[in-house]
Amino acid sequence: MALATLRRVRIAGVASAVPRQSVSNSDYAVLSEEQREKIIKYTGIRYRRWAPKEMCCSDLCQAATERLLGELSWKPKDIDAVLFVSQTSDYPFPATAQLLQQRLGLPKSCLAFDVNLGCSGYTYGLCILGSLLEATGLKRGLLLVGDVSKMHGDSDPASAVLFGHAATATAMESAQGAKPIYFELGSDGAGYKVIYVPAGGCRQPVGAQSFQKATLEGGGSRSETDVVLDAAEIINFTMREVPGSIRRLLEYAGRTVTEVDAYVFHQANQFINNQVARKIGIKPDKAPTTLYDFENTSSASIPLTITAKLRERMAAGPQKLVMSGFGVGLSWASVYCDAEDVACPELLEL
Amino acid sequence: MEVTQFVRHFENAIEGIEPGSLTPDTQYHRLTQWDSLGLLCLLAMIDCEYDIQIPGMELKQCATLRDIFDLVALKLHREAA
Repeated sequence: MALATLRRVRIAGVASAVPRQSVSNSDYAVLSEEQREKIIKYTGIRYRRWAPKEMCCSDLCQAATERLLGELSWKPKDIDAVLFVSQTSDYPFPATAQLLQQRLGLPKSCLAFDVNLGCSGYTYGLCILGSLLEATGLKRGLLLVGDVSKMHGDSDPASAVLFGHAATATAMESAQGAKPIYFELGSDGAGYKVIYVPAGGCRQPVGAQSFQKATLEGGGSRSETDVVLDAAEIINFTMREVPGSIRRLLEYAGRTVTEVDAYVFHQANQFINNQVARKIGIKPDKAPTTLYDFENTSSASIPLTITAKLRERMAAGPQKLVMSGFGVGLSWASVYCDAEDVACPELLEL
Repeated sequence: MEVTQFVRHFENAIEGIEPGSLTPDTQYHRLTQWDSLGLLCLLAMIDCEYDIQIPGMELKQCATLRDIFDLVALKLHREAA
């Protein structure tokens, strides 16, 4: 596993945006009422924010970024790098980061690139952008993460009730004397089929047959352009890798489990997150959740939880945070940081 | 590690099962309480009680609770070796 430390970079701010429109799992017609309520109880997810057809992830990122820059009193011309982490880009190419560079009015001198990651994308992104700033001496960067995926087919209960839409912006800056940020990162590509979309890439281009729905053994149906999600192997992966990642991180950072003020996990579902909390030995109130109102929002779930649940605590004083993203890839990254003077504007709804 | 204790853990893990109502020979997938969420609860129970993970496909090959217990015992034996 990779361990890494940033020593001259700080997180300056976090902002999040969600679609105003919400759908309820109570209305999901593929399941019976009894099945729906049972799934809501286990997953913790009742409502899911859902973007209108014309809204892309980059639109939510743009709104979150403009709000954050205003809160920080940063000018677009001062941004040296923008990293867009998502699995729902505006186009197959070019990279969405270039589009955002133009739409946000960032200078042509700005580095801009995309990274294709999902659930682990935020914590990976902090490491990538932070490392870039530290290595190059560039001053200010933006980490834009989230997903507005329409690939979660409505007809497959395994995925349809879990996912929704959100995007976020995180500002990072070079700062001499910053408190260290510690990382533990890993990958297990052997599990790539645990969460994946079979058709649409070079390996299996989309054809007419790609959209035909096949009936599923446990109910519902799915096409090859819909996400395949193996819930049993997600549980096994999470239990096998994530608690160990957090333990190694804390040891590396020289911190104990009880010293940490809040554990912000990727909001997979409540059942999985409860298992992670149990395995590392923390009480549920140390691990804030936004699942009930905001579902699993892929890479946006950690910063969205900071916005929705921790902004008042962040304003009150420094917070020792552990953040852990894990999922599609398979991929995971855990971060320890001392969050101090982090601008955290209210949640935006578009 | 006892099979009867394993059965008690299973009863506690799956919602709606009366304690003491199952035996090692129970065909768990025929229980009215068994569904896809039950599989997740079973995997979590095995991780919690025995600190190992069993692939879902291997569990699906098991007909009875004793079969699952034997699979868990085999995995534990292999890990210890």
